[in-house]
Amino acid sequence: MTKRKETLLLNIIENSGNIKKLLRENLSYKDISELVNKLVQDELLTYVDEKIVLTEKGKIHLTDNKHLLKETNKENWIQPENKSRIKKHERNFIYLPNQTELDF
Amino acid sequence: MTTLESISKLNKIFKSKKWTEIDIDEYVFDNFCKLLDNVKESERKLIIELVERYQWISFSEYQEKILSTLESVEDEKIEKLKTIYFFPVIKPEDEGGFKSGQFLIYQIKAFKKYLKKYTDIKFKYVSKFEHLTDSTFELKENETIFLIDDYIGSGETLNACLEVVTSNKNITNDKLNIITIAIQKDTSEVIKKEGISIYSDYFSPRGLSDFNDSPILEEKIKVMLEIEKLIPGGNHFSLGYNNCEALITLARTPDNTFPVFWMKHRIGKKYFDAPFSREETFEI
Repeated sequence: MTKRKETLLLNIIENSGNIKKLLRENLSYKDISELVNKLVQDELLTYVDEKIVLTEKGKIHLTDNKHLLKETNKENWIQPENKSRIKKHERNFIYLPNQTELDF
Repeated sequence: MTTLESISKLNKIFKSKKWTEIDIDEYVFDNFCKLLDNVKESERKLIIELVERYQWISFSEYQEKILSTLESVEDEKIEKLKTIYFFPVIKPEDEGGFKSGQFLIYQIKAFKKYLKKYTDIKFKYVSKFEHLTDSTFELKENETIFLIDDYIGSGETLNACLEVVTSNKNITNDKLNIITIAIQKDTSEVIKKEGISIYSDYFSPRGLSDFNDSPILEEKIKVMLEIEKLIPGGNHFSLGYNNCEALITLARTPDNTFPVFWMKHRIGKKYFDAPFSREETFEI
């Protein structure tokens, strides 16, 4: 699992991707910053003029492990969008849309 | 600077400043990261630059800091003294309230025995203005007043306090000493000119103006004003109350600090907590 996260991080850096993907993997910001430190220590990442880039070793690691990035668990292919879920309304509830809000 | 680079840099700053030892550091770190993720590249860079200059003095450091500030008063001054009157820096309307000055005075009272320099001096703790403003109150040659607070920003509270205290003609500026954990440098210079002594553990510079020259300064201020647009109500405290440009959090964050560090920001309809939110960082 850790290897998958490491590979995901390398992939994000290589493609200037968004770190939201890592947050979705249940990593906290703190975890992410610690993971960067670890990969720098492992010589997979390095700083060039304050920019984080992959080392040659990092690039090889990414190519070798790219298969890990594919989501193999079918359960995760489609996930419920919980943020749009609302509480069940009572039987006599009448919904009055906000007239000024056209995009409800 | 990408979000990832700024987060990694932030982690380094937290470690080098030993902020990771403070209890609520993860909450602060997380809110910093959300902020960094929500702003543009140049804004991110500026925030990181300012965090490097930021002072976070946690509540648990108060005792040590106030005692060491008292110890920093010149020996020559202390040797001449027999009695010191302690009074908190408060506005007349806050008399009897719960302000940091009263809290610090309690600590001084409790730990007087550790103040080696003051062994032979009598401490008198004053809680009401009326004691000092009473026309019969007079200071002898070997008596002085110490005004105590954790932080002095633009000096409004201090001036309100001084106005009342010095309404007693027997109290002259040379008898007044301000003892504080931190003070804005600009304010301390103004007070010193009035002949009042100041002792502080930290003299806080202006976060941008004291570190940058024109035209870079103007550019950076422009970036900061751009960030402030994300903060509802932020323009009231633009660059910190009274343009103080402070970069400091004590038990509470003073409103003189740049608002981005203590006011919520908004992206679309979503609000994000500030790193040093004024409610949550109050650790008691």
